[in-house]
Amino acid sequence: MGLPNASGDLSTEVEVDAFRRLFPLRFYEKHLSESIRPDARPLGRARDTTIALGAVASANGSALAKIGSTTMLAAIKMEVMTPSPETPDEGCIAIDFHMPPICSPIVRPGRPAEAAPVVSKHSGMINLKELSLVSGKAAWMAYLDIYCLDADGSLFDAALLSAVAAFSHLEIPVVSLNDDGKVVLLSEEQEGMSEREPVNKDKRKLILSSIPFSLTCILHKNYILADPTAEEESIMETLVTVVLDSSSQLVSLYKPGGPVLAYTSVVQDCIALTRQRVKELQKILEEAISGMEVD
Amino acid sequence: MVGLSAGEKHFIQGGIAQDLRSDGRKRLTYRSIYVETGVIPQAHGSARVRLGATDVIASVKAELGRPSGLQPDKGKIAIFVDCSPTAAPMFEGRGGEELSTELSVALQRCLLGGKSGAGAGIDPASLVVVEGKVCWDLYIDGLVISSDGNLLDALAAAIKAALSNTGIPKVDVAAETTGDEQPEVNISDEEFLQFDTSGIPVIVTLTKVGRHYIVDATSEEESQMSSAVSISINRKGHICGLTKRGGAGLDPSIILDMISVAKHVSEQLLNKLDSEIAAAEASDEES
Amino acid sequence: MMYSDIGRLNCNVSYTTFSTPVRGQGSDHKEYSSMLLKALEGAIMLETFPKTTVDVFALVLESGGSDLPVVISCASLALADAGIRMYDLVAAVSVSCLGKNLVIDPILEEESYQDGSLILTCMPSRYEVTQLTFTGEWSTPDINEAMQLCLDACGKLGKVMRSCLKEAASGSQD
Repeated sequence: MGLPNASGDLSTEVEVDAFRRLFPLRFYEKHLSESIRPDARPLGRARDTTIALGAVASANGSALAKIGSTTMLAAIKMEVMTPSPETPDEGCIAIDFHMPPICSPIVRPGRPAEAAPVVSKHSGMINLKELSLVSGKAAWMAYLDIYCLDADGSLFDAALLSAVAAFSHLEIPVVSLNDDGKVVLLSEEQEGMSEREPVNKDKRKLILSSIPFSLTCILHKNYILADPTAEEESIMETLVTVVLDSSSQLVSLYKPGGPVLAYTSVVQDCIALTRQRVKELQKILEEAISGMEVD
Repeated sequence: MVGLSAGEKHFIQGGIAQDLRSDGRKRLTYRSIYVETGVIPQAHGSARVRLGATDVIASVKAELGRPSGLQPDKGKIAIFVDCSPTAAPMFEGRGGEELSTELSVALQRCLLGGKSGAGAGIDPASLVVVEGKVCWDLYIDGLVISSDGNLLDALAAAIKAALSNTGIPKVDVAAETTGDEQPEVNISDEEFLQFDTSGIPVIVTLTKVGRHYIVDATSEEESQMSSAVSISINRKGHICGLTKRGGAGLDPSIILDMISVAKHVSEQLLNKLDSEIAAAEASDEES
Repeated sequence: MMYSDIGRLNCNVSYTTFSTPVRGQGSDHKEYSSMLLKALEGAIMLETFPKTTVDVFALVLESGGSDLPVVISCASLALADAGIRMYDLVAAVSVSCLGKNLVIDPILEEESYQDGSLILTCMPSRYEVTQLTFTGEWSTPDINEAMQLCLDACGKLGKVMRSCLKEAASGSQD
C-alpha cells in the first residue's frame, strides 16, 4: 500500500476492477463497512458447500467436497498390515495431503506448498480398535490421501470435510483367513461361494463416534469474515480455525499468529459462527449419505 | 544441436531432394555397418556396432530371479540406455538423460512386444527355469559412445548382435520341492544355451526432411528433420513396434507409405546385419 | 533459461496415489509426460508466444485404461480453454489387439491382456497424425484397419471436443 491517502480520492474516478487491483485492502474495507463482501455474502456466511460421495471407484471410500470453488478430493485405500507390538489390537491411519500444481497458479512442482494444511488425526472420531482384524496378527492400514484440486481459500475446512465424508463412505473389503493363517481378500463373487467364514462380515462400515467439522475465519480490525476465499486470505492475514465435533464440543482451535490479536470475545464469536456452520455441514453430509443409500 | 548456416541447410535439403546426400548416399541407403561381438568379457553377451561415426555398445547380463506373480510363466527383460557425455556435447551433465529415457522406452516398445508378450523378439517364456519359481532376468544395457545420428537403429542392431552372442548357463533343478520353498538350482559352468535370435526385429528409422524421407540420417540431417518414424520389423515382415518423433504432423497415407518402404529396407538391413554378425562371431571364435 | 524466440512447452503427467488398483507412490509419469509433449508440440503455434513457457499439468484421478489418450485429449482442451493458439485440437484414441480382435478404447483389464496396442494422436480437421505408437506384432492389413478405426474415432472425438468448447464459451458469456 504505497499511497493509502491518495486512494480515497481515486475511488470515485477509476474503474472498479482497477481499484480492486491497486488498493485491495481499501476495496475490501469499503465493502466491510457496508457489512457485505465482494461476492455478495454477508460477513458470517460460508460459501455454498456440496459433497459427492464415491467419486473414485478404485478406492475403498472417497468423497469430493466443494466449498465455493475450493475443491478437495479425498480417497481411502485399505491395506492389511501387521500391527505394532505396542498396540496389537489397533489399526492405523496414514494421512497425506497433496497440492498438485493444477490447484493454484502459485503452486509449482518442487516448491512445497506453503499453505498445505496438516489434517491432524481427528481425535476420537475413529476408534482404531475397529480397524483390527486378528489381534496381534492383522489389522487395517487406512491410507487417506487428500488432493486439493482447486485452492480458493479455507483449505483446511474443505480437506477435513472431504476426509470425514470419505470415511463415512468407506466400505471395508471382506477378508477371510486361508489355511496358512494369512489374510486374503475376497472378491464379491467369491463371497457367497467360499466355505471359509469371512473375518469381518458385519464390520463393513466404520462407526464414526463424533464427527469433527471446522470453520476458518479471518479477523480484520473488528470484522470477522467466515470462510474466506484465497483473495481474502492473501489480503487479510489473521486466520482462526475452529474445529468442533457434532455435539459442539471444541476439538481444536488454531490461530497461527498474524497482526490482529484475538480477544476472548472474538474467539467466542468465532466459535458461535462455527457452531452454526457445523449444523449446516451436518445436514449436507447427512443428505449426501442418504442420497447414496437411495441409489 | 548442430549449428548450421543457411547455406549448409539448403545444401543438405537440396541434396536429399535430388536423391544424392552430402556423403554420396542415396535416400534409402544405410552407412556401412561394422559389428564386433564379445567386447565385454564379464557380460553374458555383448556387441559393438558402428554405423558411420555412430558408435554403440550393448551388453546382456542374465541373473536368476523370481517371475512376477501376475506372469508366472515368463521371465523379465529390462532395457536401459545410457548416453555417454563424450558422445555429443549436448549429453554433458543431465542433457543426455531425457534422450536416454526416450531411447529406452522406444527400444522396450519395439523389442518386447505387447503386455501379453506376443510379438516379442525374445520369447519371455523361454527364460523360465521352473514355472512360478525361478526364471532368468535379462538386463540389456546400451551405451552410446559416439553419436552421429540414427542412434535407435544402431542400438537395436547392437542388441540383436549382443543377444546372438549371449550364452546363458544351463541350469539343473536339483530336486522337486513343494509349497513355497525355492527349489535349489545348479548353474553349469560349461554348458551354455543360445538364444534363437531370428525373431528379433531391426529398427528402421525414416527421417522426413522436406518432402522426402531418408534412412540412417546423420546428426546434421537429423537437425533438419520435421519428423521421424522408427519402425521395428522382424523377418516375417511384421511390424513389432512403431514410434514417432518430432512434432510436425503427418498425413496418415504417408505413414502407411513409410511403413511399406521400411519393410523393403528392413529386408536388406536384416540380411546385411545377419552376415555381419556371423562374420563377427567367426572372428571372435578364432581369436 | 536460454533465450528462445519461440515458446516452450512443458508437460507433466502424474497419478494420484489411489488412481491405480494397487496403492502407488503417486509419482510423476516420465514416459507419459514426454509422450504428451510430443503429441501436443506439433499442434501449438509456439511462435506466437516467444520467451514464454506453457506448463501443462495432468493429474490422473482414477486410472481405468486408455489413460494416455484421455490425458492428451484433455490437455488439448485445456490449452484451447486457456486461449493458447493451436492449429487444431488434438484428439487421441487407442486400440488394443486381443487375439484377432481389435478393441477401441480398452479398459484396464483388456490392456493387461493385450497382444498389441496402438495409440494414435491426430488433428482431426487437418487430418494429420501428430503421434503414433505401436507395440506388439502387427501385419500390414491389421495396421491399415486399426489406423482407420482410430482416425474415424478421432474425427468423432474432435467433434465432441469442439462442441464442448463452444458450450463452455457460450456459458461463460452469459
